[in-house]
Amino acid sequence: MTRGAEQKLIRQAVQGDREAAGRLIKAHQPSLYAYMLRMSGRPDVAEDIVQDAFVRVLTHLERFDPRYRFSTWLFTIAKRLYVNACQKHKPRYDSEIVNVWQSADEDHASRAAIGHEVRQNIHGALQESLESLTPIQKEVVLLFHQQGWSIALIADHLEMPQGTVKSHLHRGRQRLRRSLSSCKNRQDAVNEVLR
Amino acid sequence: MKRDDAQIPFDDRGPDELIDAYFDRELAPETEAQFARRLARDADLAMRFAESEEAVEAIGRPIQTPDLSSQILAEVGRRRGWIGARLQRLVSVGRVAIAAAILLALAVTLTVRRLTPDAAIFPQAPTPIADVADCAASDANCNVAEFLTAMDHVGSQTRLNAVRQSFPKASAQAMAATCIRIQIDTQSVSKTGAHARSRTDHWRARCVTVRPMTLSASAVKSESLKKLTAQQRVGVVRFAALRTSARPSDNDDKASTVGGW
Repeated sequence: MTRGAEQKLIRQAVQGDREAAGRLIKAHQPSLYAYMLRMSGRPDVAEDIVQDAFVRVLTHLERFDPRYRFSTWLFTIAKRLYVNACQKHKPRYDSEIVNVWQSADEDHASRAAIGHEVRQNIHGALQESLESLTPIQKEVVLLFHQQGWSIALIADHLEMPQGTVKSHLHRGRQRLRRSLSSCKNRQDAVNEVLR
Repeated sequence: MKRDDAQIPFDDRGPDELIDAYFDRELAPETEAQFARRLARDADLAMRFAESEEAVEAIGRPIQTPDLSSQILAEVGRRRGWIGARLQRLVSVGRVAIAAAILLALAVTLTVRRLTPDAAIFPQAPTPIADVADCAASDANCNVAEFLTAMDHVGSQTRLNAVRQSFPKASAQAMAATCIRIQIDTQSVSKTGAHARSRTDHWRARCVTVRPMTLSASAVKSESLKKLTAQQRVGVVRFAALRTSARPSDNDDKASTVGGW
């Protein structure tokens, strides 16, 4: 969606246009949900935060400053909600890996199911690896590689110098690489035993 | 033409730095080619690169998202409410209509001002009411009774035109000032007691001496004052008195006199 089209939708939504608000949600919900899911590791928390963030943003849409990006505003509010949620819900690793191993015992004959499991394993390993990062490293890595934000935009969003953002990004990526590699080796070993 | 490697400055950064620069999208195209050749030679660098690429690729992989829009819209609707499409169109049309009405009013005002620039200009120098009589006198065919009747029924907006019709030779400035001053200068008219009764419409008027009836205007010609008949003079003063009298007095039945004429 172009920025002009987005601004038009925002104006219409401010005037009370339900359809325009719905289109705004559809445009930004996937990226915000993906980001929140990776940040929290929990689909229920991600859903709650996404829903709450959108409700707050759309309720106070007239306060939006059109000089800035709508997504930046949305992510800022979502992040604050996530920080609040962290105080209530203790973050835990995604249990997808365990679920996948359990389901593998029941349905290992199906090649399609195995393909699904492999993808689930990768997702689970990724989530486990992401949890090995510090919160700020995880945030920077996700904003850069998942959301495609520029270093400058992330620096602006997190209110820190670009050099600091790069430093977090490099360390986070290296740690993620090592952790993911370690998970993969572990998984290969398990697969070897099960074969 | 392919550039020779010798012309490209050698990038002597370490493997991790090079990988970071690559994933930060900061490698120049020529350095990128160099980096690719180095990957082919350096197995350790290639392995690190592959692991990083896998991690980055996994992060960017799409995630199935539940549709939360209906819950969100319902909650927002409960908090602030939504406007239906029809009502929204009406609001938009109403805004446009109001804006158009304002513009139209402005345009009409400006046009009227341009066409009749003297309409709302007050006189700069006071002139006796006798000058008003000049206007009537200047038109030999003017019927005072008709004029007064006409003036009695016109509103403030069209009064000027009525005066102009009755006194075609008077200037617009003088006529405008006449209309305005007759209405405004109520207190400047002193009553002397005489009055006249019209045979046709029975309106009552005070016959007054108009002293400093500050009417405009330099443009009103006064050379015809002496040509006025007594009836015309009385009529003109009746007109002024009609506009200024508050209520009939005990002196209403006295004979008509026009003081100062």
